[in-house]
Amino acid sequence: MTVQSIEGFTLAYSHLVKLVSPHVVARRDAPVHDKVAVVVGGGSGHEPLFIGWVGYGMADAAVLGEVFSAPAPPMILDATRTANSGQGVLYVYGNYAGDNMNFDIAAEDATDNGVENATVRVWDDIASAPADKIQQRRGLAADFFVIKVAGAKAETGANLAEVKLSAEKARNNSRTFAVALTPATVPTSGQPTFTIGEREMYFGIGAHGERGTRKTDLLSADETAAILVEGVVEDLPFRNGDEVSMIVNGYGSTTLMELFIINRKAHELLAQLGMRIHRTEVGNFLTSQEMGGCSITLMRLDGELKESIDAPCNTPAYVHRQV
Amino acid sequence: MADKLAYIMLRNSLLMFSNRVTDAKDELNRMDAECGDGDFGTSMFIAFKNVEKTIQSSSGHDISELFSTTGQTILSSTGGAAGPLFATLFLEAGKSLKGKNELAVPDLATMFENALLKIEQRGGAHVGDKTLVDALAPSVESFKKSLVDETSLKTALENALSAARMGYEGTKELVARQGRARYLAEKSVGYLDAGAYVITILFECLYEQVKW
Repeated sequence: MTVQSIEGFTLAYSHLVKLVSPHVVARRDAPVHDKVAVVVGGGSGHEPLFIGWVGYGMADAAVLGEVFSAPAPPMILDATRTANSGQGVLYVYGNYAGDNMNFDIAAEDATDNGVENATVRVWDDIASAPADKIQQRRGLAADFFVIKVAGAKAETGANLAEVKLSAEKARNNSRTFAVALTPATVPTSGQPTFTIGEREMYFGIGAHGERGTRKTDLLSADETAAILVEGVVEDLPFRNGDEVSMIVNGYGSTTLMELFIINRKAHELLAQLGMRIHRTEVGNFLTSQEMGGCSITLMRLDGELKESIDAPCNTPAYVHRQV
Repeated sequence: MADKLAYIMLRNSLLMFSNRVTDAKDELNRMDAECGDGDFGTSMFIAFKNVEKTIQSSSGHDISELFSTTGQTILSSTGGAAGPLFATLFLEAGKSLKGKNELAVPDLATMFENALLKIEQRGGAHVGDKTLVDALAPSVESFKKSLVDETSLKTALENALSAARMGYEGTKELVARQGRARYLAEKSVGYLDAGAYVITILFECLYEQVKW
């Protein structure tokens, strides 16, 4: 199923990407010379996550495993070989046991084969572990910010250490909080990823149905937005005067109308808190099949991060041009 | 009664193991669904169908290569969290057994201890985290004791199997501290770990070669 999905994807965007092997997609012009290569990936089933962002200004290659399952080392090495132009490779992926182990094995192999590489794991989900155990947190929609920043930095010709530092800064300054109303169905088993009542909401649930932090009765969009914003702001914490970029992310079956309504309230609340929103993205970035729900991600900006966020890029799922 | 494990016996045990694991697909998925997303059985099925094919079509006689190839096959068949861990077990075993033409108790002790250490390093799990380590670690201790007591191969494997089984049974009351199950915290108590179960199957298949 994953293989067919990737094939269909590359057919749709053949002007931007090419199929390297059944689980690997790369920029059409990979390897791009004199630039650090950014290789991203994880389980499929979260599209447009990872493969959607392959192209100029973002990822050089993406590797996808089966639905909700980490890719295997040989696939990651395919991506590495295709993307690497000799300036080193930065691996960016979500912090999950399977991804961590498979990418580690591939990275060791790459090193053994003379490919300099570094890794940045994304752990923005505030619900998955307390702030003092941040490295146990799962990766959610901030994957987008980290990949955008890494990609932008790489395009400037920065070296591997510099690209890694930028990506880490993006990761360290991002926080996400999610809520779900209806579960996803795992295609291979036909089973829902979690159970929830008709009129219930589940805060903190993970992108593969990992247990959340709190179930409530159905709340209004405004009440929901308030809980998500508050959770994210308190965790970093974000402060009066901070400038941020925001993602209001849909998990698959939530309509744009609902996301826009959430966004409206989020803007109001952040303004009240004295924060400036530089850019907002609303839509499906990290989905979970047909899960109903959304997440709010905030990244605190400094000059460099802002520049990276604003930098032009051209990928199937995200384009930013200088006009 | 055999006092050494020859290549052919190891090959048979791995084929038997592959069979047992692929047959257990639904059961393993079920166990995994209690605390995870229910795909462990499917991942293992894919991996070990390939292992079966690879072993059956190979005409080698090298013990080290038998284990290394098994590990490589698992690694390239399936990702997830199960793939790297089980692959590591066989890859480390392969490394430990370079040049060996037959295995005695000291070889088994070394091989499983090296595998355990590498798995702990790779996955970060330790005894008590409710993972395959909870079945593997006791079996390593058992082999060490068998070395000291100078037991026969048969007794050593029997004891290792017992120890693995006890470790596996013990996972029921543990709170998961690794993988997706750890997000369930106390709700993971009362369920047996599927990874640990597969370790007991491995020892059953090894013991099968010498128990008559």
